[in-house]
Amino acid sequence: MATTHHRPLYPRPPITEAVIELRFKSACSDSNLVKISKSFKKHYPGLGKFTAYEMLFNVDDKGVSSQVKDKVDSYKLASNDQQEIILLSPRSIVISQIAPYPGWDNFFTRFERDWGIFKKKHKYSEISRIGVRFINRIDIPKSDHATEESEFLTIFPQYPSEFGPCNKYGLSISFLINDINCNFSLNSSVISSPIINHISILLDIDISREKEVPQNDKEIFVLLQKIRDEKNKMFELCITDKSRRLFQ
Amino acid sequence: MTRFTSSGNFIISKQIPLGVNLTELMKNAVSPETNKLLEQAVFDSSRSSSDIGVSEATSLEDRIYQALAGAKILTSTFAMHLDDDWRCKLFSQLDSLHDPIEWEEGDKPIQKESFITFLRLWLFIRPAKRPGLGLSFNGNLIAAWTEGQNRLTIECLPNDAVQFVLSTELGKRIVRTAGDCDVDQLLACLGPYDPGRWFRRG
Repeated sequence: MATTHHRPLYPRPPITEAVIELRFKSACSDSNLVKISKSFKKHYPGLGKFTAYEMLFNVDDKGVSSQVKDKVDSYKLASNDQQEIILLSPRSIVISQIAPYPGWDNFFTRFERDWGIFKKKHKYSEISRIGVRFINRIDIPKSDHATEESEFLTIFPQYPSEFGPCNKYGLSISFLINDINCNFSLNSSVISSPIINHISILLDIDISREKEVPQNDKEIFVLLQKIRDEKNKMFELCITDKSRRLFQ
Repeated sequence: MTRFTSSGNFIISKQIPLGVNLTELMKNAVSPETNKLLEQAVFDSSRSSSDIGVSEATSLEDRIYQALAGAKILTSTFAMHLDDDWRCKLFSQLDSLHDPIEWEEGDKPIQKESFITFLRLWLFIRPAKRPGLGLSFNGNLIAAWTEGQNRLTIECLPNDAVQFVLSTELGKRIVRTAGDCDVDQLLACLGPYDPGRWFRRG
């Protein structure tokens, strides 16, 4: 399909991982999953098996207990440099790109290719959810004065000034984006920075549709492009110019 | 009974009072791994590759592959601060250090904690000159810079610790010294020996 060509917005985007996930109503068999994983070998020579667990939690007056009910074999395939990853589970396919993010055009082209490969081996199953997730980490150099979240973000917790600078926080927001009939969820928190003398703030954005989910390629691709545009819009709304300068 | 799968389906079949944060309620009752699953289920986010780990490798080749893959994934954590060209060369050096054909029984592949220290060291010093890389027998990454008679070797240990050995010309003598410190103290420790000779582009 013809796509609008987008140049990456920033030379050094803070994206640590970009994900497109499709979930299905019915599960594919383990033998079929093995066949699918083999068909990706050319692009993803690294193969690892992992087990997803279905768990039961019992919540009552005595507390909480948990038990593992079922386990599901799943596959993680990766390119040689480990930046391009696919997760195959009986009910989902995840196309993931870890940093450095090469831009949407590149990522989306890979999705189109891999979705094509997947469909050749995968028996038709209704798509129950389409989601796009971008995990951003903003690394802020420490300065002599305490860093105020408001210098870098427009979204942060408010608390009495008497508390003083906070070491940690976490916030979660979700709402419906009516225009595209998608759920938006954002999780943000201060995390320990991997870079010395920095503080890092996570902005984890997930946009997904679970109702009236498109089933044909053309509509799926259109939805993904729309989600991407919304994701960019939301991200830009959450950050300040001071953040933007960090990504140059 | 509350039931969820790691792919995020979430079903509550026992009534929980309104206002009770389920994640908080369960947080102390389950393991950190389960907490991660629980958080994912509650927010029902699309699955990230960092949410999962692959089964433990059994064969030597698999162990080498997993250690190497782990190092490359770790690099992605720092990738937005790294020069693309250098990152590719780093991967090529790591591949070469982990060639299964050259591997000797008993050697350990690169250790995650050592590699984290190396990446943090790299971004702290930001050297213009690229070092040669090696592995110690126990899987610690060793970076070595040579400039004529002047040599600096740094072994990256877990938790930001480094051990260095250097030999450098001072007057007519070759001085040798060694020490250990944290990454953020390294430049101060090397200060008397003009560390720029190793890190600056000539």
